[in-house]
Amino acid sequence: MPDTMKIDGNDTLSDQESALQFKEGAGNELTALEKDDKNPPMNLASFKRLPPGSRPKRLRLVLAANPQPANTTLILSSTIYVNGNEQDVKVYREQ
Amino acid sequence: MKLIWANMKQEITNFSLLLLLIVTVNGCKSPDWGYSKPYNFASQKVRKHNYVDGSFRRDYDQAKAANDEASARRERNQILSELMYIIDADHGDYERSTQAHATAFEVLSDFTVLGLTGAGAVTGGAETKSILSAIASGVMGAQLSVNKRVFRDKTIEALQAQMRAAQTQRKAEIISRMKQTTDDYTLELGLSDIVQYYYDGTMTRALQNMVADAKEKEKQAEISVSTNLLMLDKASKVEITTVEGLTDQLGALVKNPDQAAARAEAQRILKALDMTVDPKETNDQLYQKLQDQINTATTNHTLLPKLSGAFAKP
Repeated sequence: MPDTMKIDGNDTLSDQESALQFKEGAGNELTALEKDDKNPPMNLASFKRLPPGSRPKRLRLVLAANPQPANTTLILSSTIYVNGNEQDVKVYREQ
Repeated sequence: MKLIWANMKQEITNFSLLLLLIVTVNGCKSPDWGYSKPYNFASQKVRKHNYVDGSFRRDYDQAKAANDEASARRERNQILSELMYIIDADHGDYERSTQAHATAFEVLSDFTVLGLTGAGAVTGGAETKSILSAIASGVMGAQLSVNKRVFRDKTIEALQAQMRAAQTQRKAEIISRMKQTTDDYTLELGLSDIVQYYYDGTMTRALQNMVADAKEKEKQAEISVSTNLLMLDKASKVEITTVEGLTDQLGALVKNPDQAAARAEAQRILKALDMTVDPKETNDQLYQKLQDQINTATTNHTLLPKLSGAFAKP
């Protein structure tokens, strides 16, 4: 069963990235990231639980207009709230 | 074959008579369920105004022309109240009529189905049974169709409750507006509200309101679910490294070739976290409990130091 949590869309991209990294560090893998149209400017992040003692490589949250970080793989693209405004973002994972 | 058709003709004649009887009893008049009216609510004789032309508003227009606000307001309110009364009186009949028609149709259909299937049973021949069963299926299909298409599988009672609720709300709004001056709430605005009051009492509006209510409830439920989700807060680099380190330490236990030692270590950590340890728990269950504790720290950062202390070797 996916675990869905809210992220404050007023936060910066860096702060939201740290929140996602923190959650993934506790043995969860991000499966979806989207804006919450019902409660703007909130974003919704869904995770799947990994087996105990497992965690994915770190993710990187980048504005879609910016270049892909080195040694990463694109895992999803989405439109979310960043600093209270809708922004197109891409989520990469370190290899 | 001739015998079969003769039997069928007789049966169809019998059913036609039965249908005619039922229609005559149930379909041609709306029964008053219960008791008589004290007077004819819909009679024009009990009304002050006649609404077949514009004469009903003559006194109102004259009062407005004379700047007689008190009289204009009284006339406006009398007209609006009377129109609501007329709608209420007719709506009572309409409610009984919809109830009666739904009931009559169901009874009619039931009797027809019972008659046809019963006839099929006594007529004997396989061909006759087949023909009568086909007719009976058609009648049941028609009943289902009417229920679905006309009443949309909603009970009449639910629709009537929806109509009453909408009209009650509208009536309260109209009565409240009657306290306003005739400049702010003109007779024309009042008549416009009366039109809406009338349509609030129709099946179409009731269905629309039911759908709108359902959509609103769904929206509120979605907002409620979303609102109740836990918030994922930003974390410092140290916190991220710490939580990753704890998961990695747990991973080392899971992969440890000496699972007896790993089990003992997992139990020690759980005890350090003041958690009860059941000797019957499997290693997987112990590891899952530890991972759950680490996961809880993502919504309660203050747990991190305690977890770090427990995972640290004594």
